[in-house]
Amino acid sequence: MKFSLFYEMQISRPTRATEAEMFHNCLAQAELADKLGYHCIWEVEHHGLYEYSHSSAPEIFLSFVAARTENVRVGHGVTLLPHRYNHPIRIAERVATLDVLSGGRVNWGSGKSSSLVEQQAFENDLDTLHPQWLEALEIIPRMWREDVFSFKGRFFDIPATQVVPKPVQEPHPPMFAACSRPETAAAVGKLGLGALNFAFGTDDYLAEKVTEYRRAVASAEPVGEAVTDHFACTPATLVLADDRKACNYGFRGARFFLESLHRYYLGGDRPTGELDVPRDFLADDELDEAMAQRNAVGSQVSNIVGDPVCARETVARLAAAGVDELILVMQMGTVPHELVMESIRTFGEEVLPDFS
Amino acid sequence: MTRRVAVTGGSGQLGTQVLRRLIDDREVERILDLDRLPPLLVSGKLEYRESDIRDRDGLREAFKGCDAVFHLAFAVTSKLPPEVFDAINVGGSENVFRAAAAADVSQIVYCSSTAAYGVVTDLGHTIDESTPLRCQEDFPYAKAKYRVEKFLDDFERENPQVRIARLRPPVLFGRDFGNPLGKTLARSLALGWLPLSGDDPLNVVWDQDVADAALLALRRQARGAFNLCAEEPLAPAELARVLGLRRQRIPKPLLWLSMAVMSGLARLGLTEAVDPAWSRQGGVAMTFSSARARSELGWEPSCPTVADVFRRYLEVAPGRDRRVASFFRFLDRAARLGPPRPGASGTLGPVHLCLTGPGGGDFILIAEDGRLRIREGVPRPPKSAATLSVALWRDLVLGKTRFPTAQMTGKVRLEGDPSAGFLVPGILTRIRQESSAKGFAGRLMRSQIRRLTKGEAR
Repeated sequence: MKFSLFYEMQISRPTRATEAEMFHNCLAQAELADKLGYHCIWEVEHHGLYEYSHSSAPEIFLSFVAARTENVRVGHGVTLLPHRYNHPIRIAERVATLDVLSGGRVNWGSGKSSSLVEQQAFENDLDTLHPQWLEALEIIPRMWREDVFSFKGRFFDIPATQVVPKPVQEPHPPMFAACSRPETAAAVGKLGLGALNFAFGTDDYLAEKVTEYRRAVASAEPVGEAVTDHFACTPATLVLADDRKACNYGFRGARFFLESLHRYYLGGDRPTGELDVPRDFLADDELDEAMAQRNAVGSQVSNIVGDPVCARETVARLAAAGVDELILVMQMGTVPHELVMESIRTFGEEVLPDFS
Repeated sequence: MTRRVAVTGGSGQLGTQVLRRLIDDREVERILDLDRLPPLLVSGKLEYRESDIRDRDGLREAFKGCDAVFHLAFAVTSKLPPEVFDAINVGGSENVFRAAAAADVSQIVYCSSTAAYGVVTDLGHTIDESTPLRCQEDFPYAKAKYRVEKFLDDFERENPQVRIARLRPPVLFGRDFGNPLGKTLARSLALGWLPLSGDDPLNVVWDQDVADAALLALRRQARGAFNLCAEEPLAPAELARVLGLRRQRIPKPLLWLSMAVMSGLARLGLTEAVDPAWSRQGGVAMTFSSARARSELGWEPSCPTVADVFRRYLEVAPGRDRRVASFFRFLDRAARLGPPRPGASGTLGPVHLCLTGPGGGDFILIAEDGRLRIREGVPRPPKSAATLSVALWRDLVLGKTRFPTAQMTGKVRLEGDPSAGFLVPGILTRIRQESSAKGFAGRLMRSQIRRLTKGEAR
């Protein structure tokens, strides 16, 4: 099992100063993760999701990460492929340049975005998001392979063009895509892509999703030059020596994460200003219940919150489901930087070695 | 360790409770539900195969590689032609046992019944598993249970390598009755009536307790028969007094008449036929001992006495408070009239929203191309399920507590694909937005919420 970190660039009630500080803190976290043997620093792309995700230019942050680290991979994903966000040529160029500068450490993930807020801000055609994603996905690996690229499709008409630079990884950086249900996991596997999942669901559901994915990837018709058989998911995580403290901050952060996600993805409107979501600690009785619920029968495998003993138990459940990589969401709004650092260290020293 | 399990009748009342426990057992890797109808539960390790236990070859194929078989499929109250009734219950059961033995299944748990003892009038003492079984010729259900047990006596001698546990429960009570007689009883209880005639104490057991015993029988590798009865059966008058229910006396001729009307309706295809033999039962006081299940299986029923069973039923059953149902009807209509969610395509669900407790109910949520539909019922099979108490649902609607908190603290149980985790908080978010809106829509939503939460459920 591989262990990585996940970055939304989340922040509760930002000011200009705290927002800037958050970016620098995240860099320090990535440097620490590199030293402790974490696998990858993944960063998403979102636009206008105030508080939930300030990660609008991940390529810039990731180039800083690449410059300051030695071994950890840089996960550029998921980048949004509908062309009003990013023209596929720009994606091919940026991923290749990052691959060159990082010395071949790039993992690339793609998606089509599902929040109305960013879809409307970029005036995307909501009915063609999927075919737009698929067409861009098919041509980007060709841009890396072919010296002179040309294409005529439904959305793009590109005359003979030399897309440069070329990536240094052969045949190209591993490709991943976001998915949420067994059907979409299977569709991603069919395309020969690694699967990036939000961690929702019970053990049996996750295991089924992995099985569906493996079945599909075994008979993949890859869009790229190589098949990436890899299943990753993203549990909310905070692991500290003090179990109750980890839960106090971890559940508060996970709740902020989930509440703000609901606000942007389920509301059907365009929230502006400070989000109407709770950001306080769970009440004492709620905290007791949430702690008792961890790893209980029928519980979801969506959080790794607590001390290393509890964390190992949850990681073992995820490993039993067949997951290859955990992309730990430690950087959650409301969790102080110092605790994220302590959690990266505690997990890296006391949990990660048991499963590597 | 049991990794692969097959369940005949897994979609029925007891089957659902057994599946629930197998799903929750992390050691069980694969569950096969063999039934005429799809299951009511969703799990990544649950596979449904439409099956008829009269098809022995199909069973033999299905049992390949299974460590254990739960045989729960049985026509209980149905009025069927005698040869069909016996072909299902007796012939079908024989098929199950033979096919399991042929597939090298090591453990069978079979749900028999106290009816296998027949009506024992001259015994004068508590019935335990050593009491001889009697064939009750005038009651097809009891006769079938008797005949299957007799078959098993020979079968066990011929197949000593197969461990067979026979569970003998009386009438199964549960939140969701699987047969029309139970549903009729449930309707009366919801009105505060106890529809039992005569003075004979009724033997019942809570269905989840029987499912617990079934799993214990599997884990303990049990053989032989186990009575599974709640203790202290009370005469209807006493039971009504203890529970604070009104006694609903139905004269026997009227009961027979209503059975005749029901079977007439059934012939017209309007309802499921009930064997009138069920209405002729009673008139005998029988007491059963479940001591063997307690000592050998470690069975500790959550409802130890008959009064506990009835009390539990009244605690968890939806009852007759229809406010939640009308609130969902309103939401369904509002969603139908409003615009679909932009950009949403495809289908989410069906989600089973299960609201437990008095005033609750079961609802089916589906979103198709951004349009939400809500109706009463349970999807077979669901894609996803959310289970919570109706009291929590009211608090969520009122904004007293929030969905992610309820999720983290285990007060909401989510299963299956993420559609329940999207649709249920999605509905709550919509309610919150609309109830704070100005104008007619906001006023309407606020008045609906007031109706939903006014006073207390009766």
